[in-house]
Amino acid sequence: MSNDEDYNSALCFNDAPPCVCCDNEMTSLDDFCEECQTPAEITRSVSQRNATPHFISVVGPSNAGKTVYLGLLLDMLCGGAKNLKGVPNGAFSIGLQEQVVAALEERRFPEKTPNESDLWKWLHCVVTDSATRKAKTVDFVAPDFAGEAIATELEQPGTYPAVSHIVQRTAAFLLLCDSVEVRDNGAREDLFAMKLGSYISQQQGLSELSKSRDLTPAIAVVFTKSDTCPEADADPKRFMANNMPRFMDYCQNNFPRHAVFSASVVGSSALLSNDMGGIARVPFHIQPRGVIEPLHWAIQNS
Amino acid sequence: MPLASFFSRPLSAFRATLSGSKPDGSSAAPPILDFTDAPPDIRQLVRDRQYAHIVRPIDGIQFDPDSLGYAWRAIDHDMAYVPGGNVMLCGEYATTTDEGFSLVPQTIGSSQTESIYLDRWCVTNADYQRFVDAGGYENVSLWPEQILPSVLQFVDKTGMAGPALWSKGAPPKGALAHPVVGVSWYEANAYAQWVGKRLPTSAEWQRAGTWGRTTTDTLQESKYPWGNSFDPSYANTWASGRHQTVSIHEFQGGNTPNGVRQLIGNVWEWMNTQYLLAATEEINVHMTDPMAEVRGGAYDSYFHSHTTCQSRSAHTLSSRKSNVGFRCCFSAEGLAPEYAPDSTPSES
Repeated sequence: MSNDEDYNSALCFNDAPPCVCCDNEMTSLDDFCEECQTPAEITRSVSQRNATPHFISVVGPSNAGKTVYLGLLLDMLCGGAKNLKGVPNGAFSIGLQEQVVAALEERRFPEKTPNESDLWKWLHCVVTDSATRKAKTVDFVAPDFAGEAIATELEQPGTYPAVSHIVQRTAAFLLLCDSVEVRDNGAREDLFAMKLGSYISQQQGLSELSKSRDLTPAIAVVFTKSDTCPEADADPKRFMANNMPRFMDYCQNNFPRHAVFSASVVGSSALLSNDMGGIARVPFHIQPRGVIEPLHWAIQNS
Repeated sequence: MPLASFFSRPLSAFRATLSGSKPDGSSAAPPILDFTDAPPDIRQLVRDRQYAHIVRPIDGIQFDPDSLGYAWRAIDHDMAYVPGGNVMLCGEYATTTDEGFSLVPQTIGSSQTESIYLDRWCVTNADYQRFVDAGGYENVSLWPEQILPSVLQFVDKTGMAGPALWSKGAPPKGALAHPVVGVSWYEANAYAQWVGKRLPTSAEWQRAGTWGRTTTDTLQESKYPWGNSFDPSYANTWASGRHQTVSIHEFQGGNTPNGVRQLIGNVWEWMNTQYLLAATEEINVHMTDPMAEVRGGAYDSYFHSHTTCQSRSAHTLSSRKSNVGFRCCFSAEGLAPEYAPDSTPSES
């Protein structure tokens, strides 16, 4: 063993906590967990707080709006909204917020999240819920998953260990669905949600659990981009029953704690297309609606 | 009206303290001017804010001097004189960048505005109630022929004619002094016609927000009616934390120097300007319905950089949003204010 290796070994023993996500052993020289690619700074951040991390995962298909939702949610938590106040723990937690807020203020949407799990942005935010007389504090930990990675993991479990480990530890899921996609391609979105629900059940071993105790995660179904879908905006529960009946039934049978919301961040927008087949909306102004409520419900129900 | 005489009439320029404003404006009633000694027809026109019909009669028949006097006192109370001038209009164009489609800010150009009288506050629920009660939705002369079928769909939550958020033909309780919202551009126009006014153009609205603080030698306009730095105590936007409309009596720190309230925040305001989005040639802009500009931002506007006197957004003409209202104006060209008989108006 060389002197360098001796030195490194001495540094990494005993002072590096196991990965917060998969409990894999880590050294203080690691930047990422070898097993699940969770950034070491998340593990360090959580272990410094000496609190049990409360994983709330924002999941959903590609283009459902997960990055915008999560980034704006964090920004709103920092400002304090509807009894929730959040303080990001560590500069890395502000990266996603910065990316999303800068893009929206410039009236564009942020870049797509890359599929590589070591490039995902994470956040660790200490959230205080003062809705009840006794304030509740949770360490909200969430990665910004790539939708395509989730889809691949559903098709071929094990492809993205990061997804499976986080899903195992998640206490509450915010399942984001694009309202217009649901309205126009209901069956496809419905079946994707079914697959995701089934994957969650499998990863958390829910079928083996005793029925006497409810250990199922809380599921908040959030219809995003509801500014362009008045039906979802007006009555999200009815919208889900009408357009995603399979998943609604699945939730009723498998996730006793579930609720349905609609959310939007854009007040007005224009639809653009180009000759290359690209089609997208550009926002004229930003007016968040229903962004905080699903998280508040998830904290109170998990 | 010459600028000199405008400034020589402090009541018209700095009416904010005279027009029923109270330190705690949240519970104050909407200002309704009433001249008890005026002839019945003039009194009714003033109470309905239809005094513009007196100074600019549609049929061209002039009213007598006493009636004109009452009308001008009402205009002094309700409206502010905005002298004509130049404003620099800003916009954006759509293009393709590395990040996909983007809106790139651009200067559209200078625009010359005429002098106008502009409502000091947005049309309130109380104002709009009088229009509804007077049969405004049944008066076909107030609506363009091509949208008459749509007028039948301009109903409240209970299916009665009126703004989208009303019930049983009446506004929400406690909101009489709030700006009316949930009205389409067509409804805003119909009301404006009914009171003898019109919607301001974007340039006129921008002029109203900036002229008092424009540095004439550089043509640089202030971002907000009160200066260049945003202050959440001056405008009801997301940052102020109210998250709903407030009375027109609130946030008076953000008034223009001549007493125009809440140009920034509380509700977006419909403009008499069509919204057109320029785009680079590879881009197609899909707008199935025509859009009009909205200005000023609202209680739920997240970024204050989107709510300056220069920034704009847009909605389709028939959309009825919970954060879009309007105020009215009329041209000041060729009008000479006449003073009213020496009577004291009452406010109810």
